[in-house]
Amino acid sequence: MTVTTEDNVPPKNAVESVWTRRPWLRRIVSVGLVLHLIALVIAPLAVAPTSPLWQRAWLVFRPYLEGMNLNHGYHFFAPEPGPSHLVRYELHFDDGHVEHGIFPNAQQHQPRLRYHRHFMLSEFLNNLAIDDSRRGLFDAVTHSYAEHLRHEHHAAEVTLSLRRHYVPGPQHISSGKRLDDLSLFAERPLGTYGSERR
Amino acid sequence: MFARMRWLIGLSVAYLRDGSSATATMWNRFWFAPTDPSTLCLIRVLAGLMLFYTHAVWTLDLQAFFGEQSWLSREVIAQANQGGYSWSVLNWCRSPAALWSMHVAALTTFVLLTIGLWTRVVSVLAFVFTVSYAHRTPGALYGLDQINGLLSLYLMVGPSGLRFSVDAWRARRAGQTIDSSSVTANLAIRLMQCHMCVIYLFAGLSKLQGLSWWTGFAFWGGIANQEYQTLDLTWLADWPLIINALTHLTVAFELSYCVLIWNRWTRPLVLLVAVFLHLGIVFALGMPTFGLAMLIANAAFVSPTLIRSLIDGPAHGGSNGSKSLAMRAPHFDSHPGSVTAGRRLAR
Repeated sequence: MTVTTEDNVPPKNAVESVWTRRPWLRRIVSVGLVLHLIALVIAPLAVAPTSPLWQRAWLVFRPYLEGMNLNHGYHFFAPEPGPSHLVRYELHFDDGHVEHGIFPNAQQHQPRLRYHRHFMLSEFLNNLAIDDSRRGLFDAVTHSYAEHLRHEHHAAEVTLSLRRHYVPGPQHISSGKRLDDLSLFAERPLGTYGSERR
Repeated sequence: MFARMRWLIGLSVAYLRDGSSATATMWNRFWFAPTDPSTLCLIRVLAGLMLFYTHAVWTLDLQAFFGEQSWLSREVIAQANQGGYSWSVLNWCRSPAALWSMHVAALTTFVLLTIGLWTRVVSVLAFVFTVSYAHRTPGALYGLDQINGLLSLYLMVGPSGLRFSVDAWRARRAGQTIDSSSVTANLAIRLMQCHMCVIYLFAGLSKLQGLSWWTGFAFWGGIANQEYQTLDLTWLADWPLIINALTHLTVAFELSYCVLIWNRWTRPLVLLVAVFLHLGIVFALGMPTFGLAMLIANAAFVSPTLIRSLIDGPAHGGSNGSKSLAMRAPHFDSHPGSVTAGRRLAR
């Protein structure tokens, strides 16, 4: 039997439930709620630029934030939308032939979510590239991408470069410039990886 | 002099006593008043579909993202998480067969969550799988995964299978009573609501650090970015004031969301702007899943009365006309009995 009479009107004795009979339960849950809400706020507050206070507070909540997958800054398109980044690769095979590729690739990576996953890989690499304090991780990630490509395509070597695609201003578009104009691209070689890294 | 001091102290004590009593009443009313679980249950269906789709797309690149020769090797993930607390059940999968088995289990879990079968257990598993996939490939994540994580986390808290579910159908068939209201449903919805406020607030605050959000051209940075763009809006180049207005509106919306969403009169307008903003992301910025996930999370602010009216028909909504949208809209003021409930709980 379904009890679904008046919506939103709790049954008369509904609140006389476990929550009213056991005030200690409410207090424990309340403490948990407060700590959870503080943790939610600490995560974005501790994103750089930040103060030593928020950094220390983040260290206290770090196990909870990371364990529960709540360690996010929510900086969508901030502080600036900025240029986008792609990774261009050259595959060198044992028989001497070379193939070229790029990710993300809207034609190759369908549906759109799959494209976005690859797009985030290249953006992740760029985020490390511009952070000198994470140089070691940047090298490790670059090497990991190269190894993945080499293994997937059975190539002997792979050469990677990070391509930056600047966004033209409205005045450029008004004057006839295209979004894929060659002048909007800049390339940073990352190296060649294979049996022997160059 | 002494009498004045006593009077002042008495006044202060009364202020603190009344203040703490009122705060406790409001706190209990906000968190512990029972609510109709229809909103939570609808979110379960929509979030289940989103979680299933998100993870089904991984099927196309399962080995490439989670296998032994993945884009981000286990060693690199370990290096990135040094001293961290990330975990993933996918780390147990050392062979393609194990990985595929785990993936099928995850997809099955999301299907069960969507249809609402064994919901309490399945909602916990859904959270475990959602976090596991996210932690195994941190370099491929974006806002969608954050919202998926939020939804799966709070769906564990409340009885999200009480409506629109196989569980409810089975209970009816067995002649069991189904609760018409639930405190944990309210807790789950409240947590979603507060979390959404935090997300929008920091999305707005972080934009204040950027020059282009002040000069009014940040919106252009999104629509003229070829890697994001799925709808050509570059004709707006000749309409700079519109670009400025949309940029400032975005920041104003994000900053004010956490205040205006709680007022019953402004709430429908805030939700309407949210719908336009996120549909814009769906169609123009090439992130349909993220845009829809944000809309699903925003549904936490939609009245259960309205949801039941829409799904079961106006007769079941228990409200009339525009009242269901604003007057009796979400939970802060949705229960005629909730004030009393809060006071009773505050004792």
